Amino acid sequence: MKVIQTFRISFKALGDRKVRTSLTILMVIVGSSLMVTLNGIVAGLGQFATDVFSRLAPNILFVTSIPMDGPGQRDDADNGGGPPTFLGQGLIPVPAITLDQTVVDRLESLAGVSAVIPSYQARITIAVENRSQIASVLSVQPENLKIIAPTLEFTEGSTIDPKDESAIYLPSLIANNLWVGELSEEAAAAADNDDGSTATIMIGQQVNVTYTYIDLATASRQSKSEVFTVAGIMKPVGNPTIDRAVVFNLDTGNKLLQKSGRYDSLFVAAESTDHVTQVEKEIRDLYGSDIGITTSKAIIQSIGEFTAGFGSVISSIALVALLVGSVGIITTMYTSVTERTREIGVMKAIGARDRNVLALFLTEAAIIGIIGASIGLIVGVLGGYGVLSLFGSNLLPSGEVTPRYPWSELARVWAISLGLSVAAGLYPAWKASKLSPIVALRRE
Amino acid sequence: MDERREDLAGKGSSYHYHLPSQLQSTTTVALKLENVKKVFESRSASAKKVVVALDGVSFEVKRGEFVSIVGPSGSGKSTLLNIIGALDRPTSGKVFINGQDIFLLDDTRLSDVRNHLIGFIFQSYNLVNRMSVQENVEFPAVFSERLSSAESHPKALKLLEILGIKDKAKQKPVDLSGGEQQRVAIARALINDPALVLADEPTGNLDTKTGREVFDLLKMLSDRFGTTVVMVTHNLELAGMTTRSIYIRDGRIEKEIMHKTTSETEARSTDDEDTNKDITSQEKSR
Repeated sequence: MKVIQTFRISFKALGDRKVRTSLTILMVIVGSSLMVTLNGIVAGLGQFATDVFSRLAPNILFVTSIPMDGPGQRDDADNGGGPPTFLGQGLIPVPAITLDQTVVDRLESLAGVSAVIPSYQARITIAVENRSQIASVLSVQPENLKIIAPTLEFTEGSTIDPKDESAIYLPSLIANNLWVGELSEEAAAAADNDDGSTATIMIGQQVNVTYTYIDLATASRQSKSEVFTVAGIMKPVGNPTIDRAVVFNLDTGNKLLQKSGRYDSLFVAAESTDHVTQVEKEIRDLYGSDIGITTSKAIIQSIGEFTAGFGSVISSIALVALLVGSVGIITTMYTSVTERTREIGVMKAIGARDRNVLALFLTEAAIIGIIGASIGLIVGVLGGYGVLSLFGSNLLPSGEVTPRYPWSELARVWAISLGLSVAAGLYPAWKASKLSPIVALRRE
Repeated sequence: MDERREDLAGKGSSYHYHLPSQLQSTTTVALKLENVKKVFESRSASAKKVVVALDGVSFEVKRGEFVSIVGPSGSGKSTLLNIIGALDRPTSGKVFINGQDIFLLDDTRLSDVRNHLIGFIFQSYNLVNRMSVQENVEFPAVFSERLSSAESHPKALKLLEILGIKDKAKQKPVDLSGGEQQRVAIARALINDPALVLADEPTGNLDTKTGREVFDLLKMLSDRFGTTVVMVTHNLELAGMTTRSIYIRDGRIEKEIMHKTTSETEARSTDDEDTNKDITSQEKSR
């Protein structure tokens, strides 16, 4: 029996049961498209995160006072027992070290370190007239920004004065779109204009910055406001940490953000990328596991591992959907074999071999798989774009994350869908092929 | 009789079909049964029940013969036809088609025997309704590696033409009358040039007139094209018009009756005008 004849006969047999066949194909489409969509989104997110961190200077080590290892894993003898933590052994990492000027000086003295850039970080509300929004602050000496993000550029007219305590530097994302959508509660109450329009902030314009915090002494909510003059506007570099952060100098940060000289993080610049490992080891030798050190390379690696792990979980879920589709194929094929018992008897009486019957029914399952998987790929690819365009902007800046569909991945999903379909058709087809012609012909 | 027979594929046809070498035979005997027995065992909770469906059946069918098998219900006719048609294996005994002991073959080769050497005609036609008439006729050729579709298309049309339903080739079987559907089944049985056509009550589902028409077609195939036909029937009138009737009762051959066929009668009356008997019967006592 020729392959083309087998396909023709099987195709007609499926066409004879259009509704049932269509529903079975739909099951395969759901499974395969879900797999493609989810894998595409996970791969897209992974790629996005990798791209973001790739834009960080590769020679920068990000140092925080939060230990990278879990407290339970630490050797308590090393940190002198450390402070007692919430819930006994502690699930929440507790800073074991204060990042102050002493630490900065010590790190600067290490071999292979070209600069140590301390920073304060917090969330503030920035307001112009009756518009405002919540933003992150990266309080750092503005002249050091180029070390952290070498590709950073300021717009024309910007002036960098490291000592100007009233100078504020805004990312263009905020300067151009001070939008109403993220108004603070107070500002929202004051705002007359709630039509969603945006305002643009110019260099030289004054902005009001408010820092809200809980006073530990009185346990009350306090606010501190200060008026700044916009001294510079930063062009996007592709890294959300920089692109969404308002910058003012360290002295201002220390006062406004109530930091008392305790830095939140240090950017340690190694002399070159080759020195990163050596510097990391030196810092580790000094402070053990009481300090958190992150490198761009490590972040990218972690993201890769996370994406792969997360992708596997997601794939498993989608695979379940595909398995459900396979059960649908088994049901459809089994019903078909039962209904066509007499026809199978006729086929055998006119000389069909067992393997001819097997091939015909397996081809039916394969056709369901081929059509379902192929449509599933198209639906899945479009679905990935659809999901990200609908919901992606809630999580990340819109347009920056696009689903990724490598050909190898699409081929893998297609092959899995087809393989499962054929496997699902195996038992019904085998049952059909083994039917006794006499018994089959007797069936009404 | 042989000299008057035509080629089913049409005169001047370029079709040449060959049986596998082990199945080819120059014998004039198309079918031969030697002491065929078939015993069915059914096991119930209380006891083992043995039913002897065929009890030592032996007979021969020569090429071009049109033999009818007659007998009451439960006599073993259908079991016999299933065994001759290689659908079921006998408990003991041998069946030769074109000189080949078919039950020496494995199941796969037995499928080939059904495909190449046997053409089935069923009481209830057993056509595939989603396929067109022509596709139904060509269906056995699909499982044969001897006939390409380029060859089976014109051959199917030729067979439909011989059977008078060429104009129905593109229609679906459900749109045809019972008689027409049975003609399609006859054409399907002939597509692979079988050594033997087995017809199981081919007129059983048809009214008398249509049944007669279908029978006449089988008769015509036998007379004109030398097709060997073995037909199971309840209709004694039709059985009387075949070459020979084999009467089966309780799994044994009760008697065989030779009939003088109409064509032989016509031929003989031309030669000898004194002969005016239509049918002569020879009864073999068993």
